[in-house]
Amino acid sequence: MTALPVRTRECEAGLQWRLEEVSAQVLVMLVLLAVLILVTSLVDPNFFRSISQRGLWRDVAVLSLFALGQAVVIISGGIDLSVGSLLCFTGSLTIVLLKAGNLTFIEAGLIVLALAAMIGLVHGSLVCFLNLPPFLVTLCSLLFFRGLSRVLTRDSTVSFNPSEQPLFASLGQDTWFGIPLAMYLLIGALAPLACFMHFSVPGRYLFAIGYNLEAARFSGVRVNSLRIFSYVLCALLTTVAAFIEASSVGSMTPSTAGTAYEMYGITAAVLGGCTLRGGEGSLIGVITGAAILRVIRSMVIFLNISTYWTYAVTGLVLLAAIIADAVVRRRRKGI
Amino acid sequence: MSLVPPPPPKLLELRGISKSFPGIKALDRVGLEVGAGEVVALAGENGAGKSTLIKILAGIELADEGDILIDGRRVEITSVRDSMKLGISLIHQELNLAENLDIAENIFLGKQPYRGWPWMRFTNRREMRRRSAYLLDKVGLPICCTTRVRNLSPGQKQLVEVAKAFSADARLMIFDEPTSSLTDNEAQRLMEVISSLKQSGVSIIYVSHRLAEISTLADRVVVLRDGRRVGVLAGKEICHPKIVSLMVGRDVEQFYQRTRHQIWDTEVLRVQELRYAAAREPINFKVNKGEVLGLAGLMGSGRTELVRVLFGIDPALSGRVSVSGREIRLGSPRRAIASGMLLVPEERKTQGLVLQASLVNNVSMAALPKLGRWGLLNTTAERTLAKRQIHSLAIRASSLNQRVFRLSGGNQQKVVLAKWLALNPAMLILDEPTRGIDVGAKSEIYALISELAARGVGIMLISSEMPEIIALSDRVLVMHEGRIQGELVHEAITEMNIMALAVGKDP
Repeated sequence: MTALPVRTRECEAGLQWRLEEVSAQVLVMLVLLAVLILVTSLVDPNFFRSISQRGLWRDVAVLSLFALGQAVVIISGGIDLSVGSLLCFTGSLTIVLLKAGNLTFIEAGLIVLALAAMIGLVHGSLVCFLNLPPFLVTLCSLLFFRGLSRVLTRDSTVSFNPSEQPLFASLGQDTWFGIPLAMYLLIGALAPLACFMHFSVPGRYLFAIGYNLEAARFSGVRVNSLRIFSYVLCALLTTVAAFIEASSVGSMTPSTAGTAYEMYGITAAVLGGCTLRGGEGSLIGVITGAAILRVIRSMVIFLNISTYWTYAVTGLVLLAAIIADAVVRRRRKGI
Repeated sequence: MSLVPPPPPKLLELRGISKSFPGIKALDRVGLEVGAGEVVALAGENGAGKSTLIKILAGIELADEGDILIDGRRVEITSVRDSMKLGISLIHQELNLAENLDIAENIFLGKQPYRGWPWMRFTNRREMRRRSAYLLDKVGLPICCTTRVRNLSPGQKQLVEVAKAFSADARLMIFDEPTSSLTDNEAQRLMEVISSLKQSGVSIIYVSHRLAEISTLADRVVVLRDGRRVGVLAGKEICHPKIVSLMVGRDVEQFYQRTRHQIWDTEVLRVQELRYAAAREPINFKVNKGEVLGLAGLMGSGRTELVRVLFGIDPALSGRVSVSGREIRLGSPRRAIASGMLLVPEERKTQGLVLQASLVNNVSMAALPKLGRWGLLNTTAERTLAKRQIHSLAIRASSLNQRVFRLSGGNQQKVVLAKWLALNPAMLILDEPTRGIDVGAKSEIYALISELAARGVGIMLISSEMPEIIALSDRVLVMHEGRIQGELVHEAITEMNIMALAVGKDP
């Protein structure tokens, strides 16, 4: 048999190469982040001070939490469009339970987390057992939970009294050593999750499922359990993000809270190296992606551009990232 | 001096058609003539080159060399459009109808009659329906032409295809396995339609595994084997045994060394009264330690369906399966794997491998949980395992990290085998393990099968290549239309006997 005419670059393909490729993408994103910050700081020196603000880091933590969940779902070949509505629903429900139910935050939080896990379970089961497209299943949830939040609160803003709920209030507002508590939560979620995705057998299998579900099934991988797990995880992380969001804002407005967050999550995941075909991505990259999104929002304000431009700029940045990625890939293929 | 008038040119004449695919010569200087109003049947085993030949005629594949003559004139067929313009219509194995359109719309797809003005044209539905009704009458399909195609039976769809070919003024219709999905009645009806087509001067090329149909329909039978034309039968010569002997008579000694294994007395797989959706009758058989059981049959005879049920991919309705004496619950590949029964699936690229992942990741895929503790990856053990497997199976790759889509077909198949052999199987099911791979890798896989059997692994081998089954199997089950038609042992394992059972003859 003749040796395959492969280029040396390709010879080092595979996991190692994939890690290289992913970390290259993370590096590119970090550079992009730095450039964004630098350029804006040159225009307005106050910008640099503002990005060290606690509010910004808290936002990054919220965004990263549900983007991480989204990334796990996307890596395993699915998608979850419901995170925005789910964030609104779980946030509102927590406040309602605290107030009307007279529960402590621990109790209310556990109830809401259990409910979120159930919701994820339903998403995953519908996708796996009825073979429904995840896009549609979670699209229905996007509508359903938005509506349910408005029913639950009779479409009025719900708020809580921070002095009655010190624990809950501290979640989104306190800092330790100058860093928002939310950041610690994020790191607490990220560390085990990254270990799970990149260093455990089920994590490896999630990547395999994303690449080729059929082959994973023929290799004896628990395909259904793992896919369901990804949706449960996404719902749980979204709920944690909801706690922080509700706590820091102090209230939840069911008609607007969390709108378009699913798009932010997907954008952050894609900026972080996930492809919507599944099977690729890294969690560190997702956090970088989330940071970029948040910085763009501040940037628009500091560059004295009308805030109406925020979405447009975000869209353009994402497009640029996708094009850059495609160009790099094509060149690497050696065409 | 009297002038003998030259014979009128044949409608179609193929001269020296050759076609190669990577690693395989699909057609080797094949010739074929079809006269006006003549039915020519093409016969041959799976992979003999029949499909390639008709694909060349239909403009789906391009011949590497050779001439196509229509009415004695040389023509180029480079696209499906060319072929249709020349009056050739292929009625495909998988039908090419738009399921959601009605019959009339399908017949006139892309060539609807118009009314209105040149700058604003509307489909002339009335005209389309009138002509469709006429065509349907001609092919004997008494159904309203506004019926949606998806509501038709396979046989009716077949006839719609014929009507469509008619509407294109086809002079040569090619039928590719037209009756494989039809009921007996529908097949009978199609036979009648083909006879009447012949009467009206349309020429037919008929490809089928069903020798009975060939005998009744064909004026001539052209037999292909390994891409070569090995014989032509005409008129009274056309009969089962002659066709079969032409189809199978090959020199196989050098390549397929018949091997004998020592067979243990202990059973490794026992299947009792297994019923599932595609099984016409309950399935019963067993495999002993060290035995190679061949599973033969034509395409669509239900071999793959059977092993998919055994491996737990498709559901079983009832029945008992035990591996190494222990009964297993069907319905999950995980349980099958845990019991030691493994499947090398039919579709290497979609079912066997994660193509975009690396060699090492693919090889270790199934063994990962055993390599590390607490569900953690042990990448060192993973690489050691992969190195060992690559060495013992002689997988040719540039590095452990090479992505498997870069490997050749044979090496890819060895990666699938490496993945399973890492688990020390008790029972290995191989579904078409040598499909689309080159000769060298084939013989390596044959050697591996023999070696595994010698080590006491029970093996079930599905193959459409009969010499393979004959050389490797200790015993052969032949399937036909979802049931086990017969069993052949030792000296009775011949191509003749297998083919006879495969086409439905009683043992």
